[in-house]
Amino acid sequence: MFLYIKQKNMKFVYRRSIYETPIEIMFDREYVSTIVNQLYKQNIDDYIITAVNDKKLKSFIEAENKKNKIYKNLNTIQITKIKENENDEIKNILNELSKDSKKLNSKLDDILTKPVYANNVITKSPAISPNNKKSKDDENTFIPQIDTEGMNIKTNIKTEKSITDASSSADVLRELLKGL
Amino acid sequence: MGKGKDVSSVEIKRPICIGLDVGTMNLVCTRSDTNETKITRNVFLPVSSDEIGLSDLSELSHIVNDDGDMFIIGEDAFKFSNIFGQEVRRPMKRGVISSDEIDAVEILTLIIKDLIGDLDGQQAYCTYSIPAEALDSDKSITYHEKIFGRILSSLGINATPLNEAMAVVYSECQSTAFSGIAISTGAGMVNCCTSVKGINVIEFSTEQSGDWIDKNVADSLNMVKNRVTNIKEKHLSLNRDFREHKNKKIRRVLEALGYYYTAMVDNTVNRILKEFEEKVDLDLDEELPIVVSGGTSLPDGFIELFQTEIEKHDIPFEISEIRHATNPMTAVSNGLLIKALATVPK
Repeated sequence: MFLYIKQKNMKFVYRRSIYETPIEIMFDREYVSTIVNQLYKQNIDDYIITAVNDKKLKSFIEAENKKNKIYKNLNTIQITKIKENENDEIKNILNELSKDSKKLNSKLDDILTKPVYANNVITKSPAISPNNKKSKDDENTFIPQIDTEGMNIKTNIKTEKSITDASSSADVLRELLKGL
Repeated sequence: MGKGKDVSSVEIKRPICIGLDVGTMNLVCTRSDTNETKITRNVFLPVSSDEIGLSDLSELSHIVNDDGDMFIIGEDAFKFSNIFGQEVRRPMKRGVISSDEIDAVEILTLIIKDLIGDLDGQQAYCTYSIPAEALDSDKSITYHEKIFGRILSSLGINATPLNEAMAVVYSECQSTAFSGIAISTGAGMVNCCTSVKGINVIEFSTEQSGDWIDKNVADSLNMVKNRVTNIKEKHLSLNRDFREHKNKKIRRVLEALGYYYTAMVDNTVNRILKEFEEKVDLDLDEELPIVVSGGTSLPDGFIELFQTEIEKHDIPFEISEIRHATNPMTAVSNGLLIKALATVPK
């Protein structure tokens, strides 16, 4: 993935190694969330994102790609809307550190290593109230009490059709176990 | 005015039996009242609430605990960690519940509840998988076994543990009256057992499995482990020459994966033979099949690699065949379901 976002009046490129941490960002954080969401939904591996009408930036990325021969199947996605208000935190950091690129990289690295996600329907987790009583089953094993009250979540679950007949195997096994 | 209930038509509900494969990378569930097996990633990614600023990622699976800590869970966590070049966190590590993760039990409880689904007030019996003691570690599995029993019990389910490899025997060896050698290659562990007529003669595990491969490849190439896992799942074929791949970086990963896969299989074969030599005193008059299951065995050529490594040794028993489980990802949960069905009164 090659993520490149230009923010109005703030030209700075943060570059990570393409393999281990494959994100290159110029951004504010909410904007990045928007982009990442689009990438996620489209489920594509190699792509470039540029700001709308920024031909210079797009050319630069394409030239970089050609030079480094990193992305064979390049997709260019154009973002249709750029957020107007700039992130104050990022702006301040950039202003403060703009004369020292090493410090700037380091600071941005700190920020970028934190995940960026969007707010969404939040469900409540169970109240876990570990007690200090040891299990009756095993005096040496501490087991927390697990209260599942209020649990209600949705997870990404894949399903596969069962290809063996569990019931008939169970009948054979039941007979076998009887004989033991 | 409502109608009175017709007592004669009240249906007696049979108990639901469940096989739950508790794996380091995947949780797999098979229920007796459906012909579908459900699979989800056993991973999570913590998110700081002060960083959340957008409302359009509504498809994400996530949970928030009472302290306001937020976690992306399952497949979403895996995908997003790859986008951000981060490591996902695991409720389990090396085959057992992780001692590094204070949130592990909460997260596992939530995922398992969702995975098992609605029981509609019916009585439920679940057989869940546990690993054998590892030969290359002194970790106890007692805590792991008891915690999962307690999680299922908290969901109102009667729970019984069963060795993971033995579940593969129940799933795949009916034609040999449940005799065979089963090898379950998961993310955290390789579990092996030898069963003769449904009796578990010997069982053991090693920690040299999928995560061990990924970690060593990642360390060798200075990469994030998730990326190695991703490339492994997308591109690895042990039948093909890694040099055929056009992308240089992927070539390097595939090359390293090949080396560590060979080392893992070699280690597993040696362990099986050593355990047999030291602990098994059986005069077997029948050929045993070797059945391999688990996500780590999925790459093309894995069975051939296993066969090649086996052929390098003198084997103290006759092997009828070496084969993959019918479905390597669901064999354990299917076998667990079979055991639950066989032991719960009809």
